[in-house]
Parts: sequence; structure tokens; C-alpha cells
Amino acid sequence: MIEIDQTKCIGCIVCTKVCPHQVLAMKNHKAEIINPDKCIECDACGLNCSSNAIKVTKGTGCFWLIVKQDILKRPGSCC
Amino acid sequence: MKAAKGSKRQSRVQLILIIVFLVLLQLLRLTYYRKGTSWQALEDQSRPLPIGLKWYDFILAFICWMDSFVRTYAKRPGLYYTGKQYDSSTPILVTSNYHLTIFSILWHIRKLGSFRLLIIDTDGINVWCAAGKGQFSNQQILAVLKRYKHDVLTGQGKITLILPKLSFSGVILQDLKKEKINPIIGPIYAKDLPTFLSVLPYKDQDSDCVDFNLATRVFTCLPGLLQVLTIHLKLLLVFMLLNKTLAVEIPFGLVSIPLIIATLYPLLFPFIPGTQFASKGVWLGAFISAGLVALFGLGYISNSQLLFSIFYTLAASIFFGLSYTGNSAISNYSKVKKEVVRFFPVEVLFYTLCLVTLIYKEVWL
Repeated sequence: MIEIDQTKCIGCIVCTKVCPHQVLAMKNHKAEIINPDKCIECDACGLNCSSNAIKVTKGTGCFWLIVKQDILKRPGSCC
Repeated sequence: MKAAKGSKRQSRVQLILIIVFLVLLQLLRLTYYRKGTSWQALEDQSRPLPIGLKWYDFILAFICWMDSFVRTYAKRPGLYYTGKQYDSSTPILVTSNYHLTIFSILWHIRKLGSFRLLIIDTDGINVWCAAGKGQFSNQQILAVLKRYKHDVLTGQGKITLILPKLSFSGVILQDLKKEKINPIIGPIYAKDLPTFLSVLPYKDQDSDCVDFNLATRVFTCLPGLLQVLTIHLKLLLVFMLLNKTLAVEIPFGLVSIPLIIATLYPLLFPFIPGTQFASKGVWLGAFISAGLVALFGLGYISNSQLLFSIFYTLAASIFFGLSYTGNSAISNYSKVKKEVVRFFPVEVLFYTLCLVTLIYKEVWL
């Protein structure tokens, strides 16, 4: 899930630069979600947003990692 | 009598082959990097080291690619330089210490002249996975940089670092700028480095986008095949050992089903119905099962063999679909989590039905 609070957005365009799937674009000097289905929730945009305007449910879409961390509750990487 | 003896001998040979393969693979994996290795201090830890491709790097890169579901080989973190002499004015490319990533970079820039590589400690994991887990972050970058004196890193005021675009789920640009670093967003793929590095001044690759095209999917075929083969051979081994108590023959040819799935799934991915990885697996499994029904119709397999094979196919296809989420560049965390909750129990059910069918009915070799 990804959400942008446009009242906080300062139009620095960093989020559009760091997104690997071009989910975001600038419109009227504010960031806007244009390809929500392409978002993989990596949180590159949220992490690099200096005004905390972006909220993302951060996670890695990897079955093994989800089983290890979310189901078995074991820390560490998937491989 | 002779046919029975021949069949038993064949089973024994198959069993031995499986065990030999699995043992050899485990022996190879003993040479891999150990998770959490603390790199021993070297005398020249504060001096940049030369780096280049040696003949064995090609072998290591192949192993990294082939067995990419397992942590394979890693490089000692630090500052390295290509070319004959260290030059503090050359660009610094930041990357993970996963061997295949470094190999790919060195291969693509081999004809471009001198460059520097800042290899950070990502515990042997590639850039994107490491960034997502917080192992490719500002802290790791600064930890390596502080080993070197400022005049070693740059002749100018700020240190210019070219960062891989896939590192920004772990790297914060603004915080790097506060550390007197000039970060530049580099390309996603190493193959685009020559084009990027040929244009001065270096510009942020903001329009660079991940591509999950056929070439990318073909690249994932071999590691997927090996992963599937290893897991299903272990399963088959269990079934074959159960043969001693259950007196059923296990068709060795069953291993071909997950191999077919592991080949067709990546190649046909955009054309398989369904929007989720596991549901695409179900569709592909159903398609293959239709082939099995045709074999039954032609009299090649019995009804019990058909039942077992269909359960096995559906279980293996769901399993591969879920596993492929780790291979793909487009898996969304929330969606995959829902898929796991929905389809993982179904997969377990199908494997259980396989076992029930085995116990209840004899399956022909």
C-alpha cells in the first residue's frame, strides 16, 4: 500500500527519481501515484522523502522471506 | 522375475544417483561464503586495492548464478580500483559484496578505463535484496569510507559516489549529502554503465526502470531449475526410502514435472492466466494436468497414477509460483503475503494428497 499526503509534499521530485518502477510522477509540482499496480512496496520513495509525505507498507515480496520472518518469526534474510 | 530384478536394479541406481548429486551439491556449498563473516583486518585495510577479473571469477560467477537461492560467494568490503594505478579523480561506483554483482560490473566496464569500486558489506547479498533488508544503507557505506583518508578518496571537497538505483530502499540521499558526499543515482543494470559513464557530468538516472522482460526471465530459469530439482529430489528420496515399508514403486520420471514447470513458468509468465504468482502456478499446473489426462486416455498411465500425478503437478506448480516471487522484479509485499496465506495451505494439501494416494494405491514405475 502506498499513500501520498500532498499537503506535505514539497515537490522535490526525489521520490520520482528513486522509484525503480516509475510508480510516481510530478503533477502541478506535487508527487502523484500514476502506476499503483506496479508498486512493490520497497519504500525507496518513503525513505527518501524529506517531508514524510509518503507512507508505504514496506516489505519484500519474497515467499521465503515472508515465511521466515512473518510466519516463523525468525530474523535474518531469506537466503 | 527378470523384469522385477531389472526394475529393482533401476530403482537402486536412481536412488544412488540422487544421493550422489545431493552430496556433491552439499560439498560444493561448503566452499560458499559463510553468513555473518567478519572480515579479518589486513595490513593494507586503509589502502585501496587493485581489482580485475581472473579466470576463476568466471567459474564463481557461474556458480553464483546457478545456485542463486543460496548465499554463494562474497568479496571483502573495501575500496578497489581498476587499471594499473590508483587515481583519486576517477568515479567511485558503490556496490554490494555479492560476487556476481561485482563480476557483472567489472565485465561491463572492462573496456572503459580506470574506475573505483566501493564494495560495502552486504553479507554476500545482492544490492536490491540487501537494501530492502537494511544491509545496503548509509551506515554500511560510511563504515567502509571511514577506513580511508579523505585525500585518498577525493582530490576535491566532496566525495562523489555513484549509487545503484536499486539501493534506495536502504540508502537515504539527503543523509549522504550531510556527510559531504555527492551521491548520484546510477543505472539499475550494470550493462547500462558504459552509456552512463560516457556522458559527463554524470546525471541521476531518474527514468531508469526495472524490466521484467523475457531476457530477465530466461536468466532466472537455471537457478529456478536447480532449486526445484534439489527440493524435489529430496522429496523423491523420502518417497523411495518409504518404498521399503510401503512396497510401492516411485516413478523417477516424476521429477520431470517440476522441471517442466520451472522451465515453462518463467518463459510463459505474461501469457499464463491469473494476476498472482500462485494462481498462475495453478493454471500452468492445470494445463500440464490436461496433458496427463490425455496420457491416461491413451492408456499410458493408470487411474491411480493419474490421480497421484495431478496432485503432484498442482502442488509443485503452486510451490514454484510462490517461490518465483523471490526471483521476480515485480512482487508486491502485501499481495505476496495474501497469496502465501491463501495458497500455501492448498499446496500442503496437494502434497498430502500425494502421500495419501501413495499409501492407498500402488504407483507404477
